[in-house]
Amino acid sequence: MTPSPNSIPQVSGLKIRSIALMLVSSIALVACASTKKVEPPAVATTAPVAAENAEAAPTVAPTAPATDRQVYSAPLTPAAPATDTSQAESSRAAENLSPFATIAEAGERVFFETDRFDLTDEARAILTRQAAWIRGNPGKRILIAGNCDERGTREYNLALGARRASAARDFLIGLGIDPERIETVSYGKERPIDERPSAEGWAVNRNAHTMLLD
Amino acid sequence: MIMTPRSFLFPALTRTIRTVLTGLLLALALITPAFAQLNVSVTDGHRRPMPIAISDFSGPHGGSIANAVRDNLARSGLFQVQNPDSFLQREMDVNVAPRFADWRVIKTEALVVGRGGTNAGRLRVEFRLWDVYGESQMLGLEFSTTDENWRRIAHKISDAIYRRLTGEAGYFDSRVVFVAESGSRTNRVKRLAVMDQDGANPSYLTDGSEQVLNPRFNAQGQQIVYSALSDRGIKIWVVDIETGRKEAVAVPGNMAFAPRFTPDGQSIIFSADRDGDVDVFIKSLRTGKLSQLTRNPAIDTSPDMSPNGDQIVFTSDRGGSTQIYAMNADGSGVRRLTFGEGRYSTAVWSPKGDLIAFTRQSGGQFQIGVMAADGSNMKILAEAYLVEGPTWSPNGRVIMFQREGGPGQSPSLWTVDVSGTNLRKSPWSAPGSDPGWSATLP
Repeated sequence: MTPSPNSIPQVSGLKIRSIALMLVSSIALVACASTKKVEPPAVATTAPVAAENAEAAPTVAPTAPATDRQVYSAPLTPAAPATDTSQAESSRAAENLSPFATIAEAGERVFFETDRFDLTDEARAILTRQAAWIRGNPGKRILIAGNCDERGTREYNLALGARRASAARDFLIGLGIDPERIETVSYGKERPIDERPSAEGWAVNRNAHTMLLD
Repeated sequence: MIMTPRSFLFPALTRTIRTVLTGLLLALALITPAFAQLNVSVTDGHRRPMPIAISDFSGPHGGSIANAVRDNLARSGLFQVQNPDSFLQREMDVNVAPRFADWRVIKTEALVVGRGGTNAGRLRVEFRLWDVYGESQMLGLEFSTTDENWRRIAHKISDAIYRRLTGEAGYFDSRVVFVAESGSRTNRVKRLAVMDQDGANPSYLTDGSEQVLNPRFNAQGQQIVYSALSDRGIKIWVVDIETGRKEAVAVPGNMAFAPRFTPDGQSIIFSADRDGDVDVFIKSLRTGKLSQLTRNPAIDTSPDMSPNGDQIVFTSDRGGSTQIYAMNADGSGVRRLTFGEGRYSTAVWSPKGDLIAFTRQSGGQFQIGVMAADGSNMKILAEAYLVEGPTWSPNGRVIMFQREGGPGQSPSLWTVDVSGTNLRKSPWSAPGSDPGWSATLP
């Protein structure tokens, strides 16, 4: 229970009664109706929403026609984990032996086709590099946020973003990453990184974004 | 004592009109033998709007009250509100019959005259609605409230006129909860806001630290449910509009969204994510009991319960494309309602439960439409680069929604008559989205 900064007091009631014309005697019809009124606008202390790094634009922004197609596919898991790096995790876990200094260097976003959540070859390659970084940084946890373009309704896109985040997470788990180290969230279409209202901008905004937690 | 305008006003009006008419007819029997039946059809949006004149009220807030009534009636699309500059009779007394001939010259059919006064610190406003051609009073009412509440009197007067002339309940004394948007597209601030249906008295209920999505009133108008997106999840909140208290609705997982009250206000239906699978749930606010209503690997979201509580419509892509489905309140009997080309989502029941409004995507555009409760008789009401999130006026005549006219434009709130006519921007001109219309206020 959080007390609101804006309490809304009940204001006095609104009374209604019928009035009669001067030609007739007055009619006593009185009743009460309680009314509510919200106080004038409170002081706006707008803390900006956590900004995405617009500089981290993807190197690959696939363009895809906007279609009504819907594709079902189970999240793809690789046939075999990349063996060399999983050995690295088990034997030399204490230090960062990842070939990448940061997740961003490994590639922090994977991109999706319109209204789809299956991973492209490109996406799998990036996630495989992310897995290498995660293995090399055993103490770290990650957050994967699913994002959508603006060409869908708000609530559907929240659900679609959840699918995209889960598809990326499941692929990492398939590579041997501990599920406990991965958290997912969907931002739907609420946190685009590309302002362009075009096929190119939408393609950039359809992604799963891997971030470092803690 | 709390009484609804419906239960209270109507018998009162009937009595007043009958009494007044008796007196009038006695007095005017020789002058005006013909009594015109003045009414407006609301079933056909293409009918000629009724010319109506609203003279400035005398007394405190008189001009402002008259203006608010004019704006309300004009925005409904059912009335042609006469320009006060054209009035021949300027000095009006609420207790004296107007010079009807003067009003017939400007071809007005209905005339509103009013007077305000202050009594024991309270504002009292009385008005009469006259049938200009019938030369008779159709309505005489008085309202009283605190002085700062004068706009509500204007809305009550508008509702009374609307009801008297259309035969349907009005919707002007109501509020809209919505999301006030600011900031750039890539750094959007989205705050929970409430305003009167005409855009007046805006008030912000959250500080913008989280992105507020899809707020809705309960049927009683006392509470608002919404979801708030933060970096690590999306949570459902209920805020009590009277006390300002906010309470999180505890739900397993970190992604719960698309919340609406059930019609009785006792439960929330919503969707939640479990490992990428979004299903529809219901949670009792009283007992805390949580039930899962859909069990399907597809997306199931945007649930809305019918006013009588026995059906739930929702959005699902279980059939391969995004469509609207219905099911019984317990999750049984799922059936698909939409089969047309395109993608359908965000179904919302009309207040009477006879129609469902929805969002459609087709041909690169978005549309707002309505259909019968069984999915038949689909009709598109509005189309643009982006329109979504329809919500019904309390009387089911008007649909408000969010609209972006073209690529890159800010979202704003628009309304359209359920007949498909009278498309217009809400008087709230700042960027806004996700409107949720309240019931008429008590």
